[in-house]
Amino acid sequence: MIALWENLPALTQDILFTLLLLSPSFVVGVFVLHGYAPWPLVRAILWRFRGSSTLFVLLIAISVGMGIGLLAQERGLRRGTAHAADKFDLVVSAPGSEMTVMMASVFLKPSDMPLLDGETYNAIANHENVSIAAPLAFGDSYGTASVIGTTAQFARYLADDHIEGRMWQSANEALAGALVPLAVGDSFTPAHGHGDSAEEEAHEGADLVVVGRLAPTGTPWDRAILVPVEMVWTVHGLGTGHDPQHRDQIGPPFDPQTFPGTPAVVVRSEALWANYALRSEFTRDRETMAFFPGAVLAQLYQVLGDVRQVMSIMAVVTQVLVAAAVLLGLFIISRLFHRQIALLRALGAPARFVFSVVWSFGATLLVAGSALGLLVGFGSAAVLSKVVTARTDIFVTAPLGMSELHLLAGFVSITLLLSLLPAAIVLRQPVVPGLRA
Amino acid sequence: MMRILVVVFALLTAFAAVAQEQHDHDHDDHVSELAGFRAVHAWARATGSNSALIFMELENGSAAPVTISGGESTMAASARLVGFALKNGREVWQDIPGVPIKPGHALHLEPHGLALLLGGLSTQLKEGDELKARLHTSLGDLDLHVEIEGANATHHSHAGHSH
Amino acid sequence: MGLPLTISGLSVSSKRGRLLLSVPDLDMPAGSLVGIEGASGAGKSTLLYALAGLQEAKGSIRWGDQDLLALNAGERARFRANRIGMIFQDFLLFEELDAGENAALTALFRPRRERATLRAKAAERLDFLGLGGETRDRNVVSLSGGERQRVAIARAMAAEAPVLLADEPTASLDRAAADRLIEDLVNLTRSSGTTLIAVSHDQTLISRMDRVLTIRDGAIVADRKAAR
Repeated sequence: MIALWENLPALTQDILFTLLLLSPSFVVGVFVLHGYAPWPLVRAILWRFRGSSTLFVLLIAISVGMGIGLLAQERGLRRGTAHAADKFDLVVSAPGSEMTVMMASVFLKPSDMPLLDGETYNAIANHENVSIAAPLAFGDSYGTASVIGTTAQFARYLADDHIEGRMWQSANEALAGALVPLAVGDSFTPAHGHGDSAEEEAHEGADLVVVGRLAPTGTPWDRAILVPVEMVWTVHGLGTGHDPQHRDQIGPPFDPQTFPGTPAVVVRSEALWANYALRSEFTRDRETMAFFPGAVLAQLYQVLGDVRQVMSIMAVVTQVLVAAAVLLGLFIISRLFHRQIALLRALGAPARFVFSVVWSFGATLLVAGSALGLLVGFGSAAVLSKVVTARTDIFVTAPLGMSELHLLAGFVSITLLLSLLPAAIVLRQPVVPGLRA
Repeated sequence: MMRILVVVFALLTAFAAVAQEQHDHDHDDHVSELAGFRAVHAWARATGSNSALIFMELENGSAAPVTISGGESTMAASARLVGFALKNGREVWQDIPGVPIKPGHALHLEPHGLALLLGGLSTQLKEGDELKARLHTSLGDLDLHVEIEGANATHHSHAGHSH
Repeated sequence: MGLPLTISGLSVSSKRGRLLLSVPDLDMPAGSLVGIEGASGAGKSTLLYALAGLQEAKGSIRWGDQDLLALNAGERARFRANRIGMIFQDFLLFEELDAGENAALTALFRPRRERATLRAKAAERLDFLGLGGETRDRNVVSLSGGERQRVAIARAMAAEAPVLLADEPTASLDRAAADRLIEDLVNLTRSSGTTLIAVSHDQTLISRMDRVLTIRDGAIVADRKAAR
């Protein structure tokens, strides 16, 4: 049985699980409604109490929508950050915090980091299994864009070789990320530092020309300006990283003696296995640290995974509480139509029929609220994604997934079962006072 | 007097030898070796599911490159060499056909890196137990004594000891 | 045809144990038209609802050979659905539904195979009561009081129940509408042989009954047979 389940495609499993979660509702529905036609009365009651009914549906929709929207958002954020790290198979840096290095290299939030020297860089770059070994130079900015020094090879790799215009050919040419407000042909002067503390005049005279624009990547790199690493080193008075005979050379190889140092080297290898071997190779006590940004994120997600579970539970609890409040409201409404209930019973309606009318009324509100909640969730996730994308440049999309549907299915089942309660209470109300009220 | 001293010395030496042997025996549990190619500190997490990841440190002390390509265990239906990857924010384990290790180099199979993935486990893995498995290498099969650590362990409990 | 009623040792008490109604013996032949009069709070309605099985009571209330008080709640409901029609002072219609739907209301909880028959019968009753044609499709809110009460009569008699219980059926109507309603009620019950028991202050209605019971302080203090 378990083997059979595990052999099913994931989508089939998800759909079956959704149906399984909904099955209590179906069973209850069949038991309650079998043989009766309560709908004309349910419609009549819904119409009579249309104001309250609409309010309840909206309440349920908002609580459901917020819950599933938040969960979808959490997954979207996870996917977005994972996508941002896609191009960063392996990062080598001086020993320290993997998180710090990842924040700097993948998410462009650099802080002070020790540097790797030229010999270490060359050992990485010349390793037989390494196809790209990109040094990074941080610290400068233009407006809100970071100016990052690196190699042409890495710039091409980052944009999958989709560059509008051309690659830089000298130290004063630059490539703009897709979201940088500079066009091909524009020139600018980078400022030292970032934001308000940036020193506008520090690099006076270092005019750069944008010669190309990189295709969008959906990562913080879209808001970066890439320049030859030699240019960053030069404006900071650190030399070019090349010996005097090759002072105009752009890109590797670098001279280990004059190499100013790099906080991190982004490493790429063509062979799948080689990344793992390189990680072992460059994990050296007191010399280098090598890590997969994906693994750091995975560890982070494990922590977040627990948070997600807590969030899921909180979302369900909140929704059930809202639903309980709604059901209490239904019960109060049902006192308003207790005359109709009393009438039905006086006319000889079976208890189960009266029960089915009250239950169907509640069920209609819950199902309508949940369905509308799906739309609200979809909308709120889309809006949140736009906000997060705008603030972090991490491209986040949060389509509703199967786990949200499962949550919703569970919610519908729990509340439809809960709504049996007010229906049962209504049945206990005495008939005669209702008829004579 | 001299005789007594000799006897005492002999006894002490014997004790030391026994103690040494005992320690060597301990080492056998953590280390396995094939013509200079060693697997150290093989471990896995305790689990009730039917799959598990085996991690270890490999050291190629032989004179030639050695390629590892997978493994087997009498307690599992399959043992594949896999590598961690993050796809769409989800952890996936992709098959790695083989990894060569140059002479004098080491390769770490560790969480969120390389691992030997056991599929179709026939028993639950309990902390403190030992699992028998074999690593397929270009030198031949290497026996592994896989220590079962806690369900949330991140390394072998003896990691850091040098053998 | 109507059902005969035999009551013996009937007593209804309030939850606190106060005696609300006591009827040691009462017989009514099938097809009789009986009026119940008396001051407010005397116990008229208590008697009427006890006859419908809606009051907890001691003793026996026998409709034909069926003792209502020996039945459980579900069986009483089924008995009401098939044997007893009821009409009320303020009609108790579903205002969101049209006249035809209200008259055929009980079809909603009847077995599927009986629904069409009941709807046809309800339509026939409405026709007889002058509410056929396009009136049947009108929302009951648009009908006059007299018309609404006639819809209620059609509903009560759609299942051809042998007993019709009426609680102040004319109290919400003006004189002309009340007179017309009394006419319809008496004609319908007499022609179908239905047993009618009506609680009323309306002397016009009372005067059309075969027999009039007067209730005071929970007891029948007068039992007049109309001179016919």
